[in-house]
Amino acid sequence: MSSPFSINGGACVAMVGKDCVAIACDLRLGLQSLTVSNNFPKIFPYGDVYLGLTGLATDVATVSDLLRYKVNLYRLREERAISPQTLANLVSSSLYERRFGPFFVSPVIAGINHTTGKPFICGFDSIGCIDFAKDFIVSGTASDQLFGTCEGLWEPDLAPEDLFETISQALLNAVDRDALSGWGAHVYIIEKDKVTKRLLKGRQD
Amino acid sequence: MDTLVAQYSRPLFENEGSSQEEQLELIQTLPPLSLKFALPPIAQPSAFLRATTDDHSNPDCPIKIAHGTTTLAFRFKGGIIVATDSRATAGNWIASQTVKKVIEINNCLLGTMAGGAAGTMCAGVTPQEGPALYYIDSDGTRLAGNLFCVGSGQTFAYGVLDAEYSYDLEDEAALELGRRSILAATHRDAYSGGFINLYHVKEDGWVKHGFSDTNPIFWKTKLDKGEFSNVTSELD
Amino acid sequence: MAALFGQDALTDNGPGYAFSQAPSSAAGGIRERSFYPYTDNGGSTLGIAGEDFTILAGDTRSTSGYNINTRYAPKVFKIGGDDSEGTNATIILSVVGFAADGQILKERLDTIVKMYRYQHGKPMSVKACAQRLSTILYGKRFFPYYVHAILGGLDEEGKGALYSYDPVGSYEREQCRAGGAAASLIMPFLDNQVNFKNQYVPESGEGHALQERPRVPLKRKETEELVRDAFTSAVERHIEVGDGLQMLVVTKDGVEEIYSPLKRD
Repeated sequence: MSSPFSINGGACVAMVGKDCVAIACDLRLGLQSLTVSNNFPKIFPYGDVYLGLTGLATDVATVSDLLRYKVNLYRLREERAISPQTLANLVSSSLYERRFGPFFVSPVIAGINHTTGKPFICGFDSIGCIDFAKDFIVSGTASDQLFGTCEGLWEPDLAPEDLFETISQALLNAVDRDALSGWGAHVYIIEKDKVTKRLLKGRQD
Repeated sequence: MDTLVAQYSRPLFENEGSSQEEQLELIQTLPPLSLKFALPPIAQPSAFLRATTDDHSNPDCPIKIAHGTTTLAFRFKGGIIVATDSRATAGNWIASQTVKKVIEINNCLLGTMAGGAAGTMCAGVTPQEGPALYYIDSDGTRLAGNLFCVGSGQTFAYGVLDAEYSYDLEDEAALELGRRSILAATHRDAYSGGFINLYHVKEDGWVKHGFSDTNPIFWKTKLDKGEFSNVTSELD
Repeated sequence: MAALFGQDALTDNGPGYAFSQAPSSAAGGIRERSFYPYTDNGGSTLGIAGEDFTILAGDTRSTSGYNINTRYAPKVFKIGGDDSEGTNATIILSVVGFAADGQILKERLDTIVKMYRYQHGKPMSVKACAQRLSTILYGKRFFPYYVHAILGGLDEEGKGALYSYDPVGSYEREQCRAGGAAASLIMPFLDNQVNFKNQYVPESGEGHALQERPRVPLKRKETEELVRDAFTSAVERHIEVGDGLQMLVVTKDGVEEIYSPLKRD
């Protein structure tokens, strides 16, 4: 119960649609049963690639900052924005560097590749093994619940508005069955030349 | 030595299979009035029970008994208010959002339950005592009092209740205070939530005041009264 | 893929074993012998009550750890019929968890419901049967049956009735309930599709004024499809679920059994 992965709670999910991707997270930050904050987003933008981080909150903050630093250096050196595939490899190698003293996070990436125009999502374990998925990636204390709702609601080639509805329902219903996640949610719908960010009204218990 | 003798002097398999009594019990359709409990055939049944069902002492226990709760009851001039949440959790899993934690014992007696080590409350009216409220727990503690909150969310409920409580509350204000205290607990305590179950015990028996979802109540409280300003309802 | 720090303590012993089977040894060559009477046989069950019917379903895989014991072990049973086949039964029971405990529990309840009919000359109501099942489970409060039971039938008004139990007999009447290994995957899906949780009526208002979608009882056909969807999803993501789907449907005409295959990987 006092696993570093489930002290603070939180959930994140990414999904692929037709020429679009979506990523969503809850807003809770807790200390075991005590809810400390209801405004702790777990999705971080790096250009137009998005990284979701669940797990130990201190590591979520550290890893997101570390990657912001690395992505900024990449952009300065290469004079171009980072692609989701490159960010995935950067996250993977950064996590594996800490193979025997890992960050207690489960990252998720969502974005659209600039050159190919293809949607891309992937997930990681805490030491950087990449899980490439064609459909969806889940992480956090509600991951079991998210597997169930995503597997039940997701279908191929969803248009942006349908993808928004699908990912929102998958996340809201999953976190409502997890004591440590919820208290509102953020959803990003990423299209080729447009990103829409929405706040979801969720149960506050 | 005594424990050794005790351990080896009883029939080893006395509890195995169906005894004659157990077979008779199957034929009778009604359970006996005094419950007979099956015990594991080992020297320390309590240790076995702890290892299999108590997730405090053994987080990997195979049988997770649901608990986590907020219940409250207080005495005031109009009788007693009893209020509970309705969530049951097994670890971090929310097993149910619709548990009835108030037990209607008869038309003028109510009990509340909280799982695990937490206690229960008994509220009722009798001609001898008038409105009476007791806190009871599994150790045998029995306390009479005016105001109790029990369970994992008790501290949050006490916070609201202690600030606003007065014995001279009107009926409507007392009901609202019970509801608001549970709402506060469901908001901050991860193991409390679901529905608010409200009862009012009066001179001539109790009256139920609904089993209502916290979600619309929460947003109404926030938007109409400006409370819970910590919760964001607009993006950035 | 296995991380150094397991995110879930339970999976460290492999799936299904509730706890380590190895006896620990202390100093001085004294070995501690423990009493471990339970095994988790995996699998999942699901029940939904409709307007005039109740469905109980379960997969037919039985596992211990990573092994499959059999691909056809029923988890849903008829209770209190005329014979051992359950002919003319009106009550159904699903049990998941430790299969041996489940079997015994089913036998006990079946016997009691049969004896009730012989002695009273009428079938037991689901309400009475539900209370009796709770008493049976509570009788083993200190040596519990390691099972999650769900009882189904029709109530006095002919409406679908569903009762779900924890291992020590605490029970509640509900519209739907998932039990067993994939309960955490199936239950939030059911909240959404059966009780319409988190759904709002389109154009019923702006923002906070949106109206919640009211609950309506499901039709029998769509309920069966929902059950099949829930299980095909669970099979994809849980290794202890698969092989076959067994459904028992109670209506005023009796109990109907439906079997359909699931993935066997």
